[in-house]
Amino acid sequence: MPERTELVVVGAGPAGLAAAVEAAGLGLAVTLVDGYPRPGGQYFKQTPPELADAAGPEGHPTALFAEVAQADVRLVSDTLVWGIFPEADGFLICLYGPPGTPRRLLAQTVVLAPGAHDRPAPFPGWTLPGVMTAGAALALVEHQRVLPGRRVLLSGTGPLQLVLARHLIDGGAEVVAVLDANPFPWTAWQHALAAWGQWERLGEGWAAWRTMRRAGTALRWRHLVRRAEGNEQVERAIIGPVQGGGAETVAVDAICLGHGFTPSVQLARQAGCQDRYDPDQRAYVPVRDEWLQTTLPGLFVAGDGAGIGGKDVAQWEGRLAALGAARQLARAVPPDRVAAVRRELARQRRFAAVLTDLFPPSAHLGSLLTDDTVLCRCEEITVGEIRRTIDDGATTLNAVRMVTRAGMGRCQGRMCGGPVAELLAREIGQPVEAVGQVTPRPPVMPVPLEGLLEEET
Amino acid sequence: MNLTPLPPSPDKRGGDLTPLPSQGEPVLSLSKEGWREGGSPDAVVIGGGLIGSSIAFHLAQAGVRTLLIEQGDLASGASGANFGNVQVADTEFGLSLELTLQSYARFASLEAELDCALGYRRTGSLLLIENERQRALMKQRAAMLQAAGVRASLLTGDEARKLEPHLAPDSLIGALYNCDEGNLDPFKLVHAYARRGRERGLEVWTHTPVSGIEVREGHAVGVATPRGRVPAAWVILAAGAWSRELGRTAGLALPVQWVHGEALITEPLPPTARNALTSAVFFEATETAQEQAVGFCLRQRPAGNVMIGEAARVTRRLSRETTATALPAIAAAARRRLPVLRRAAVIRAWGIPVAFVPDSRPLLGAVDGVAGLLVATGLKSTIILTPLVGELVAGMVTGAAQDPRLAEFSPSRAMEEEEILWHSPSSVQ
Repeated sequence: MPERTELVVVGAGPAGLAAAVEAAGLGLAVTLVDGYPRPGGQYFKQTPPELADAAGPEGHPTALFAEVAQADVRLVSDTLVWGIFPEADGFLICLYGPPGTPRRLLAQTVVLAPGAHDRPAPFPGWTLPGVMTAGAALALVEHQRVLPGRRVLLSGTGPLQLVLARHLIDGGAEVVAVLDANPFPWTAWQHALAAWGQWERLGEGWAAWRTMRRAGTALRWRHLVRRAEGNEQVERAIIGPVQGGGAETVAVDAICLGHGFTPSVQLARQAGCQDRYDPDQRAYVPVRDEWLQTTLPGLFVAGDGAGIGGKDVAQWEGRLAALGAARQLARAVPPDRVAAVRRELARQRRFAAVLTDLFPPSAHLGSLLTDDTVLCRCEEITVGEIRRTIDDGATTLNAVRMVTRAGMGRCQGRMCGGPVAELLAREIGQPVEAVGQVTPRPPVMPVPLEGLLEEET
Repeated sequence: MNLTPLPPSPDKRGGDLTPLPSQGEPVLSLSKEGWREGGSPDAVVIGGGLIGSSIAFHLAQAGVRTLLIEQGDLASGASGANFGNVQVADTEFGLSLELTLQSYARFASLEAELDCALGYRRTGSLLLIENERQRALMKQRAAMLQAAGVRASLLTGDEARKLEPHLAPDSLIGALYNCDEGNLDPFKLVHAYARRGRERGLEVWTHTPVSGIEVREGHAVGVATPRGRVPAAWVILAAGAWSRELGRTAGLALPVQWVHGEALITEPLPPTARNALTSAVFFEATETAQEQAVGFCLRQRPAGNVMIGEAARVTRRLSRETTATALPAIAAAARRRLPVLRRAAVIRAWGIPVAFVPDSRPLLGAVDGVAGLLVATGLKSTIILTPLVGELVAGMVTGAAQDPRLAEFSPSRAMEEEEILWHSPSSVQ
């Protein structure tokens, strides 16, 4: 029989930590499951102890670590949640972790806080060694103290690129240029009110800007990398404006792609939550009510996993979802606390909306694809192979996938699902919602065969 | 293999391609070229899986104006959820075996015939024997297969492990080996039939669930779909597990049942198993009809991924779910037999209803009382029979000579439906 608990929180990033702390404060029995050895998620990632000396200060401090340590929260680290199955008396959570970790939990309520992953941005040459996502590069520099290259080009959109540029320059790399696919945010002043009080993040942006100015790094708006070339690894990047001609070649040994993030919705979809396409996010997000509860009563989603909002939105969403879970468990929920959480969440959402508005995911990436561009990296499926399937009459993502096997590899379409759907929609002249999604299947992450067993043996 | 062609039959059925007068205005607009100018097809095939697409191709090849209708994507039911095995050794004896061998003979030239790569290769198969009762059953099976000319042989456990060294010594006492069995990509086969059919005038509608088969005065006159009524002189039902409900709309109680079968797949691995591996436990009928039964079958794809099935239960629910109980059951069965798979990363699982007929013979041919309605479903080894069944059913429409013995597959034959045995040797092929 699986262990029973009132609340399982999946993911110990900002949303999950805050949810666990809030729920424990309300007296709920909380188990917090996280996939990494140490909590923090991506925003509050902690440098692994074995690298802590070299890395100096330990990642990003947050008061939530101390709060979670003091609260009555059971933390299960280094453990994957590979499936959630709604049952008559709760949600069966399937886990796989180090020896001694429970393999099954039966939770009355669940808060999913899975976060997001880098939005893949395929273009010719993007599979060359040396081309990586901005998120991966940031983790390398910040936590491993490893530079992705000596001459680094950044291409994408939004403030994360500036933060990465600053870390790279401070680490001794030459940042050849930072390309932003969006125009200069002339309209930013209109959002001054929403930005009021966001001093920490404005300060971070300002510091990055100054570092780039000192290093003489060019920031070019409405530009992106069109092609990467090289033999064993990336040697050159062809860059140009998002539309129109005028390309130039720059010598680089690394390219970091920062086209924003896309919510990790796999677990919510596998559990059976309904979702909807959000055109602003250019991604599917779970349908939620005012308590952040999904269409499955008792199952909540908080943070970037329900739509990119950043770490502050995530924390307040985590708290609201915990209050919702307590309410679902028929606990007393202080109305003034609910009101305060909702107020703060609304404030954080206003600022998040500004960033989404100023730095939307670029719509021009699709025009870069050539027939020999690999879209599905796991199965090495090219744009040309997918186009042939479309010519043969495929009109859905599932049909393309079954014939080409794009999205059938290790990542199960987390990487290529979006780009393939957008390519298909473009080619058949339909909105991307019309081509559907891939059927969600457990395990949502690769799990060793033995790890599927209910008991360790 | 010694193959005896079926004797021609004096019994001529069909041949009349004149559409029957239908009532009500057809709400239909097919595209404007070719036969479609006439406005309606002669034949509607329901079900875009292996059998339906083969029938549709063969009809189009015979010049019959054909519309293939599929509720989802092509090959999105059991046809796309199987292991692609072209298997002989698990067939029923008698006419089923005879047809299976006839159909098998076509695979050598199928890629050339369809001018499409299907990934077909001969790999061999092992039915794994674990107890004396299974050994007795497999011994009997080997003798019958050999008599039919199949190169099947009964191996000891050690001999089987020479062929598949990763099999755990204590997991088997012998095996039934057939070196001629093969494998292909079932998606490619379905799409090849659809593509080559289209070149011959076949119309294919996907994402179009048929809501009913229309019958007037003892004749099938067409089908109802969300895109409108489609009048047709012939309706061919090849919808697998979904055939039961569709048959009901024509007033039929087809004895189609199904198991909900589940399987999983690993990331690409180094060579682990060359043959298709299947547990002979599938041949031991049990009485635990409503329980989840766990068998074992395994196939390594050419790319290295290992597909492992299966946990299955007889159900009346049509679902594609994967369950929390099936995955650990499959994992345990696989680990016991091939310990090398213990650490292999599982990347996906799936579940699908797989049709079967309680007496283990297919439903194939005309239905008593509804002229113009043909049924083709519930085949035990679907892939291997796909080319032949497509041709047979097309022949029933065009009036080709039929083997009178096919009457034993009549969808209207008497059958005790209550005797639902756990009986699904090929739910995942």
